[in-house]
Amino acid sequence: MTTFISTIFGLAGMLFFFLAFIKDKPSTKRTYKMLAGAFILLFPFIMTSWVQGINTALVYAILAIGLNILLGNAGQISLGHAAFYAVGAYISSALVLHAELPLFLSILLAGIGTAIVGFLLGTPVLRLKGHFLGIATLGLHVLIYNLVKDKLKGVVFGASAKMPEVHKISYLTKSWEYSLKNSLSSLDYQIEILGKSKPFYYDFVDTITKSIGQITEYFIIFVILVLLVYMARNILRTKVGRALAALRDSEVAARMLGVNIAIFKNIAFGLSAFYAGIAGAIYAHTTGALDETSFELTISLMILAMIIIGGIATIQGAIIGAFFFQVLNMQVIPLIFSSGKGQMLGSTIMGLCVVLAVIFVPKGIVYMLWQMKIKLTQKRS
Amino acid sequence: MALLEIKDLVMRFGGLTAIDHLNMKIEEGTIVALIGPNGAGKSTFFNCVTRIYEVTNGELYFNNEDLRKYDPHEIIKLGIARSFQNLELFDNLTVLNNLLVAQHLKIKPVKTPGVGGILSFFSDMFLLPSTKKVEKEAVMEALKILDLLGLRGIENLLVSILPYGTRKLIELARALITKPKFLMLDEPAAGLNEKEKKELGILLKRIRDELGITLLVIEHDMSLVMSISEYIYVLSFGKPIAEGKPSEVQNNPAVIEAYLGKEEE
Repeated sequence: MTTFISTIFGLAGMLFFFLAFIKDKPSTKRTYKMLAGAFILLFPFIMTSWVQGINTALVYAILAIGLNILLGNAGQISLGHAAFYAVGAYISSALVLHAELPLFLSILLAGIGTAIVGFLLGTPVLRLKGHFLGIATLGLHVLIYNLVKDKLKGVVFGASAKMPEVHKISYLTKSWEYSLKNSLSSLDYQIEILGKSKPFYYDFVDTITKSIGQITEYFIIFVILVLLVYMARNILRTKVGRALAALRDSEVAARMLGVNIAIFKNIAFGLSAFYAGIAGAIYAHTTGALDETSFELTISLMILAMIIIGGIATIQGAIIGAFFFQVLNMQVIPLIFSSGKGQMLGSTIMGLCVVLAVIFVPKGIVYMLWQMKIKLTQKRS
Repeated sequence: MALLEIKDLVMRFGGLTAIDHLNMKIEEGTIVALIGPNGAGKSTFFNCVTRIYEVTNGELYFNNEDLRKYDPHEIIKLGIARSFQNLELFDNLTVLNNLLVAQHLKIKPVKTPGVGGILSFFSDMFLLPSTKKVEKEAVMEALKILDLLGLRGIENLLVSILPYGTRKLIELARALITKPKFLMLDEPAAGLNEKEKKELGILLKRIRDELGITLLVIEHDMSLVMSISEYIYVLSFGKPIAEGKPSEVQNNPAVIEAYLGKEEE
């Protein structure tokens, strides 16, 4: 029953997003936007088992927006983006553990710190172009990955590589969790000792109590994502964004118009690293397990696949790509193949989906949606 | 004093001498043409002046400033703008955005010296009133130039979907919006039909007369060159073979030879 409700709810939510994107008439668009907003707010309470997977998708969306600024908007490739993800995670961890800074300040400082690292590392690397830049960023990843593995892990965390509970985002609502647990046990008391019938909301409260930490994370990461999207959108629409697009489309013309391409390539790298740093910091304060396996090369490649599937050089594309990838990978495939054998088949299907997406929607899902939108408006007129 | 003065310019790529001892003096307010057969080194010369190529030898002065002290992205600050032989527009941007990129140096939401760049960045990030104001001014400026060239109405279209002739004009608009003193155009008439060529000739004269911009034009279309230019330099295989007023150059045997080959052949 609950799976049925959550499936219907999830499909309805996707439909709202789709319609809010496709519809042209302002009033209709607003209605669907509000419905989509309501979906976002209600989602963690109805589809509670999905929340953890979606939280990961939100973090990947932040990473993908960052890489998309570099690859899509500035035209510079990075195959080592997971390195900046790691840098962000470790800066934030070090700040809360050793400087005892508050959580959100450390996340912000981790972003800024990673941006500075990116900006500085950009100087030698970004003199290269195309394939050579790809290889150089790959090298950058190996360098940082090994630094984290051999040196930083011990310095920041000691032996464990675990983030203590107090420094996690979920800890913010720990008191709510206790009061929810209290009311649950008083309900239990009424049911078991006093023999009252089980109220209809019992299961609901029970599920919420178990996942309150994840739900808190969901809302906080969501707010951070919205803020970051707003910032990215403004940056890309004004001077810096235009300069990046200019150096992507024609370096020589950009220079002739006064764009210092060396500096702006660094800015692109820095901006991109800022997003990766914030994503890494959030990762550190949600997952808590910070060994080097979380920052493997596959993460870099996955983010790359996300923006290519979602749609290059658009913010929506990065978000859609991250969700497409994550929902398919973490939710849909395990749902279909719940047995152990299915897990292996799952990655195969995932790979197949990427190949199919690249063949049939080479410009990404977002461009496909735009084309649908154009066709619909033409049909009507 | 000449606006642009080139002394003994030599540009070599390995063993190939692309420009061989070129001297040039361009007076302010003139329209000068640079002609010569394909591969004569004309575009290379533009790349030398705009510092894309590091010259092998020679001196370049613009407004008494030694150009060799500047980086390519600083050339525009001196008031030198250019167009390209094979269009170098920002294809994935709209016409308007192409013209906004051209105002890159002018768009400064916060003008505080030193930290202005960083403050401007934050102003942009949160779309503060300071950003909105300069952006609006820049858009107005762009629309003004489009009006001047009769291109109003296409500002929100992607450059890549526009016809070639229009794109040529947009590249010209993009150069003009930087308010240059000196404009270098690389084959502005290539790909245009006769009518468009005539209109271009009139437009270039207007640019000189009304905006007071000195022009240096590379062009193959001789009727256009003869009708607009006041002075002509001729290059062949990197060597300056003739210079002078249009009527003098037209009848110069060396020029005829460079274009048509020797008579006895």
